[in-house]
Amino acid sequence: MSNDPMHQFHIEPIIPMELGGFDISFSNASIFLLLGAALPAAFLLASSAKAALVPSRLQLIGESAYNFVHGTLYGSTGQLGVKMFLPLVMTLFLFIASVNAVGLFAYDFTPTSQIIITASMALIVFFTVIIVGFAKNGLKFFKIFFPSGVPWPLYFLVTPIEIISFFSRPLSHSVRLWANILAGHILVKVFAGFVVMLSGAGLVGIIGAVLPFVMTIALYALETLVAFLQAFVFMLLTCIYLNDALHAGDH
Amino acid sequence: MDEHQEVQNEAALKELSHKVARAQESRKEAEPQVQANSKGMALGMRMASEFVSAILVGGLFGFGFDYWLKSTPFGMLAGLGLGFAAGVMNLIRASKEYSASVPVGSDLPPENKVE
Repeated sequence: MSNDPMHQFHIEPIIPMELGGFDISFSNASIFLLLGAALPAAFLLASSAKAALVPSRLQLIGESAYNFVHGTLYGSTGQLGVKMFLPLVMTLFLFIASVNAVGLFAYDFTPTSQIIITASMALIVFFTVIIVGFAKNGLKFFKIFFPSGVPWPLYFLVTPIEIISFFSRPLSHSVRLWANILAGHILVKVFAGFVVMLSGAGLVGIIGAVLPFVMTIALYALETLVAFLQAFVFMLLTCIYLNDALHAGDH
Repeated sequence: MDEHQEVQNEAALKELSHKVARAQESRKEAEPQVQANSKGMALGMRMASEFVSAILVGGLFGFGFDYWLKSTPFGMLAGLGLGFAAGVMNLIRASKEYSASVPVGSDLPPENKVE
């Protein structure tokens, strides 16, 4: 195991493959991405297999997860939004949460620490907003660039600002998740590295290593919180953006 | 005895269906309201990225215009300025959403809570 804090983000091909000049190797990232798809599926299948009136513990967790996502989506987009977007939002939330949770374990790879993953998810949401926005509102969707109640000369200033603000969404949406996970994992690794380095320096070092060790535990607890919190924040912002697609007229 | 039970069951079923109908009715009436309750650090990260990304995108747009119209560096300057404005607007929007979700005075100590 190397002491380099960036080592955990290396993508190593396991089964090298190439298609039309592109490297499509099956790598350690692919394993954890597949896990991120398989775990929520297994969880939901297992928790809904019995569908008992008096839920078992697993069913209760599954139902609360569903209720949680449903409540957040309903709170910001209403009944129509739930009807259209629950599968998308639920998938995003469970995928991010499970991928983050799996990434907390030692030797594991965290796909959300790669900006390409978070950016793809943010762009899926972004294009969903644009497509659904135009499908639902037609040309009225452009109203989000022309807020009402503004004297018309100000539109020369406000419209570019609104456009920039709209296009900055996928960036802030993806960078937030990526930066949180990346920074957290590096921090934990750095402090854990201090423990190893100090304990190699004799008795004084071992006593001194207690401090970074405590820090590692504290940071690890924080990271556990961040893993789920960021999944929630990603989902919450997805809901807020989707709400714009449905109700572009009354902006 | 059997008949009595059947009547009882029917009444219970009827009541349940009334309850379901009422619950569905109330759901239809309920207005969607934006609720955003995130913890402090997540909120801080959100504000920061909200602000920075608008400036970056504004600068990028300006750079694109420069590349297209050969007007270096004025497009980028204007873009950065507009991006800054968009960032401030993002911040105001995000904090409005947040304040809407947190009732006034809910963070005060219990003795001087606003009712």
